[in-house]
Amino acid sequence: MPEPRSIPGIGSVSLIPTPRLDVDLTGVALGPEDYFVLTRCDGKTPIGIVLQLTGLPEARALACLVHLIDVGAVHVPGVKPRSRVAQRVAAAPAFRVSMMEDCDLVPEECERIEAKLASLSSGSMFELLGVPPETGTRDRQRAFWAQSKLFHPDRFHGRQLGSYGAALAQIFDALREAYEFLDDDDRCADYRRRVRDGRYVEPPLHSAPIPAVSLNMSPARGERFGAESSAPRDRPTAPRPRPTVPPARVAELFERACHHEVTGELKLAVDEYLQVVRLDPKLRFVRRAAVAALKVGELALAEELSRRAVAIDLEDSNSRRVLARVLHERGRNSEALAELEEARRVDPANPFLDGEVLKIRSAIAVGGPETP
Amino acid sequence: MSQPVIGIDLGTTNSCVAVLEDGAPVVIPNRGGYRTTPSMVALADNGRRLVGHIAKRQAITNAENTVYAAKRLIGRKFDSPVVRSVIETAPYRVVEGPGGDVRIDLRGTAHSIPEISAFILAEMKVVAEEHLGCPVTKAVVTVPAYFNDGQRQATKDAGRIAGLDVIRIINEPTAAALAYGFGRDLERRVAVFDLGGGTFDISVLAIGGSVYEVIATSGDSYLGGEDFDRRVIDWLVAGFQEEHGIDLRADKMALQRLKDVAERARCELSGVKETEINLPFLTSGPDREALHLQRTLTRSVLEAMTADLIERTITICERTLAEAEIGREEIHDVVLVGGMTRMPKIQERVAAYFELEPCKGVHPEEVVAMGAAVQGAALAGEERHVLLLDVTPHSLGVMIMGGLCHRIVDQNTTLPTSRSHVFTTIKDNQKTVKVLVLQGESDRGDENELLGEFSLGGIRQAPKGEVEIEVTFSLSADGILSVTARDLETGREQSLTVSATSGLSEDEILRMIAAHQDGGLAGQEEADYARRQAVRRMLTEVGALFTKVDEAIGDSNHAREAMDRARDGCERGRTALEGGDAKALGEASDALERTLGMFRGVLARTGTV
Ligand SMILES: Nc1ncnc2c1ncn2[C@@H]1O[C@H](COP(=O)(O)OP(=O)(O)OP(=O)(O)O)[C@@H](O)[C@H]1O
Ligand SMILES: [Mg+2]
Repeated sequence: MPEPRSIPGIGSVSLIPTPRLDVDLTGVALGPEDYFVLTRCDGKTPIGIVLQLTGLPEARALACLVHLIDVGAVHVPGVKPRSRVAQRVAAAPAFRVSMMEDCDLVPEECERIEAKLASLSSGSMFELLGVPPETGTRDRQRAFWAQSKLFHPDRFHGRQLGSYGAALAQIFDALREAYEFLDDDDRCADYRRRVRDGRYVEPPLHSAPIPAVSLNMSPARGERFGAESSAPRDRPTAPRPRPTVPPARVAELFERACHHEVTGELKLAVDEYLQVVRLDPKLRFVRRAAVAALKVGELALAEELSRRAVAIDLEDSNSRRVLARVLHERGRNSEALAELEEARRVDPANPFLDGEVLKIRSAIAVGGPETP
Repeated sequence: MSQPVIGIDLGTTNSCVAVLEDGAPVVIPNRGGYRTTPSMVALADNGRRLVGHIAKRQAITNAENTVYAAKRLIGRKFDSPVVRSVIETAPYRVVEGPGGDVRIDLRGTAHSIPEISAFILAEMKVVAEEHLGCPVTKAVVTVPAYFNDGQRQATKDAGRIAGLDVIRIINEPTAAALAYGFGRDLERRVAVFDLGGGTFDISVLAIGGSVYEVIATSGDSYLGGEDFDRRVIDWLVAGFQEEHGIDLRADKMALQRLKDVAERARCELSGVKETEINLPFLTSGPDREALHLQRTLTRSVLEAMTADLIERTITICERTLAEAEIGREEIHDVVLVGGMTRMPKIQERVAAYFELEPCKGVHPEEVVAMGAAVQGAALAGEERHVLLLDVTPHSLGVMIMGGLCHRIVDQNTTLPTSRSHVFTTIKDNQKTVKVLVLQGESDRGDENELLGEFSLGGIRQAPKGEVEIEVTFSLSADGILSVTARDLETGREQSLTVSATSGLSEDEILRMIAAHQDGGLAGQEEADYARRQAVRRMLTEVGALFTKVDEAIGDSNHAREAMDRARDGCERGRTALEGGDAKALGEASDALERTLGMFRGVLARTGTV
């Protein structure tokens, strides 16, 4: 099989982009072309075809796709939204500075820090650094330095900072990430174009949960600053996610299924897994269900589920491993072997594959029955 | 005024202390007037601890109890190759500590390396205190940029043992750049090439608007003057073996003399082309006849036998620039730091590589301490302009399935930073996850250094791959790491500040701090007691002579004044004895000594003794 063509930053053209229907796009500025590309992503068509289907120049279509990935509207297995700033910012509003805090900062400093913290979740990375988009590398560096002089934790060394300490750490991290992100000429040019088109807006608050690090508060997602904050008002507040099945319920059900699988009540576990999959067809749920079905010997169901799992993420070697095991159980060893070879190709580092390949090879050598 | 923060360059060979005075960094000379102090610690046969020049002076006669280049051992494990090679060559006894760390046995007591370093730091603290006339407790201490987490942690521990609050550890080349750019309003890209007694560092910084941003840094924490010395020693030993058939390596005293002479010859060859090496009565031959060593070393021979060491530094420079994607032509200045850069061949190679004449006017042995003082003042809020943006020299990650290393923080990431990643279990019903914290650039776990490990327990019973564990790496501005693992379901957390390789437990450190303070206190009490005794003795003598002198001296204005002063001296002596502090005692003792001198003079003149 010939190697599929690969796209820088994304990977193979055979990857399948899936629209993230759980992501609310109300707050996200998408251009008409972005929407057009989005409609071509149906969760079945690989990137190569999607790009052709749009009829746009490939580079243009690709830029839109990248933007869709960046804002969390489309998921491609193994590709992370590129702007780490964007991800990090999603957690920012969870941080609430207490005004009564006992700290050594003067009110102006507190205000400056709070205002900057609030601004992390609005505006472009250029605004974060305080430069116009067309600024060159040198000036961007100077701006980063000037901002660092205002917010680097060392500027407050030895002072009692209370929760402002964590705020400063977060601000500096965001500044640094913006600076590093824009330091790449191509990335910067691309981002600049989007800012000009007004399409830079960060992902909605409830997507891509990146847990708030170094803050010991659980991030209440989707919640904005309290009334005392100086969060800018002009940015549309992202609405809460559409009410679907409460994720807590799915999690609970899943946990129960896991428990039953572990305690050997496999039939029960399979039923529960199937319910979970119906509510939320996430890869790991589907794969888990496949494994449970295999364990109880419901091989047809197991094959169906594991094929679904493989389709969700073609690069996931573990799904293929499960599928191979099912196929082996069903006596289709050469198919199983093909799956394992593919798994090995997509993930050479998976340490479990070699053993399975050996097992199936020996099964073939012994001449096990090959049922078509 | 708030207490000054001193800057200490804790070097392999020499240490140096500086402070910001009137807005400029100045080096503080030690009691002997030297601007750097040898990083040597010795235990004399009377049990006295000697540090610095005194230790160096007796090194040859007390080789087994004189520690030098301890920095090469700090934060290292006993079974590492580096420690092996030190054991082979060092005249002092290196033994294994309880935590697999390194200890040095001095007259039957095992000392940890942080403790040895603490003696040097304490000496630098005293040098500063005597100069400033006030107690000093805060310091910025420098380490080679390429030092790893354990080595940094151990250096911080050394500071604590010495009674210093090390408010920041900074990198030596970065410190050098700080001093280089201080007060000059530069806007340049600078490469700092630092080759000292034990370590090599290369750092590239962008300087502008008093901000010092490190762009890339790398090095070799086991490459320096010591290795050059070794080459010369090997050459001398081999020559001696050929001539007399005697292996000098077995003779610790001879080795120490060889080292001394090798270093001296090397330094001389930086100025002249040829030098004579002379060691009379080095050892005795088979018939107990005295054997002498006498050889001529030329600069070109020295250069030939150390060429590969010099090339190693250049290779590291090349790699560093390549990795940071910096062209050589983008560097505006090259600053040479460390005594080794006085070697003409090194200056030549560096100039040829960067196609730049290295900057003049930087004192290679002092600039690091000066930069540390600048950073100290900046952190204390005294120097409001300077800001340092330093990076981590190593990548950091955790061991994952298949023995691989999953990187979480990349090399050359600006500090402080914190990064997280979500991991999962690899077995059904896995109750705990073990987090192995790795440092290094390899993708394979075992090729990196293991900084520490800990477990997170209480995980929900679940099939493999279900549980989500978030691991967060936080690097402080010192480059010191703490790692937290959190079970995203239960919120249960486990964390670790990596200090395993420092080799000292918290208990041990506390014990050492106490011992150190006791030692200091005992010494002070002793001195206090001696001073009291002296004052008492002098008071008695002055009292006994008083009437006699009063009669003999006559009745001039001059005489009355002198006797008034004598009375005043006695009064001060008595008050000081009743409850005065060390300073009052010292002053009284001075006054009494002068009085007594005058009394003796009067009596001698009049012949009434
Ligand atoms: N004139 C000279 N020519 C050659 N080498 C010299 C000269 N002067 C000093 N050195 C060497 O420089 C080294 C000491 O340099 P320096 O004091 O900068 O090191 P250090 O700061 O103690 O060590 P490090 O920074 O590696 O911890 C010694 O090896 C010494 O022999
Ligand atoms: Mg040095």
